[in-house]
Amino acid sequence: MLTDRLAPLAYRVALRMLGDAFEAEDIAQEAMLRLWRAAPGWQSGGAKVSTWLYRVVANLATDRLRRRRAAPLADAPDVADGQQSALAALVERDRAAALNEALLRLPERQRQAVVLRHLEGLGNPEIAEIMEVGVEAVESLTARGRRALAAALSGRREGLGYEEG
Amino acid sequence: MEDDKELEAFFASARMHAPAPDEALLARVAAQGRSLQPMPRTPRLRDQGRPAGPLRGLLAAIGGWPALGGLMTAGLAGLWLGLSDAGGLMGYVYGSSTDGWLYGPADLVSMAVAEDGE
Repeated sequence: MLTDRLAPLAYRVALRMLGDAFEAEDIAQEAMLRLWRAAPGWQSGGAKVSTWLYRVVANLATDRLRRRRAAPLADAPDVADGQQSALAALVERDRAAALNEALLRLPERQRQAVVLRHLEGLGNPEIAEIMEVGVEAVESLTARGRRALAAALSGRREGLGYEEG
Repeated sequence: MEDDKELEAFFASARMHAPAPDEALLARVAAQGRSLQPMPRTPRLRDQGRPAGPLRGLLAAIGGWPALGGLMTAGLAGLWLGLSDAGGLMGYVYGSSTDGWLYGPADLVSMAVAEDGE
């Protein structure tokens, strides 16, 4: 069923962009609503439905992030609250949580490119279409994002399964 | 971070533990989709109010226009068979008790021999 495949996609990308489950749910619901409304006019030769949905989610998440920047700092979410303690039991989960936390510290466009490339597994041409930029810009964004993530995570190696044995 | 391999391990962990929406969200989205589906067409008023004449009753009794189309096709096929002297079927017998199986001359001979032998 379409909902079972696409709603989780919208939700996880929104959550990785925003780090807030409630906002991610809102965005997933809004994006799916737009999809239902657009469906009757859908043309088979046009963009893939998933590409279209990624773009809608990315735009909605960007809007939220802009609103956050305009809001007082006290309203900014604490990205690590709850998540870290809940996921600390397993190293794998801890690594995932550490990455999610580091992702939320990346500049918005780099985060988007890294999420689509390395977590959603999309190719650069499709990411370029979603982000409405050139392929070279995508390559640059992902490369800078990776460097920043590597730097942020280097301090987290100990305790996450990277001790020298 | 020494190399990309370690970063890849973080990505792999994050992919493995991808956040998933709860059932309530999926149910809301599915309900939303259903509410936006086009409504089924209702019968037109002029069809409802029209009295059923004897011809319309007969047509309805045999299964409507599709059945009438089938009847016409079968009739035309019979006419063609008659006109084209389809002698190839002359020696066949239609076995009604065996769900429309066609018996050929050779079958009939072997059936007769079998019956005689009993």
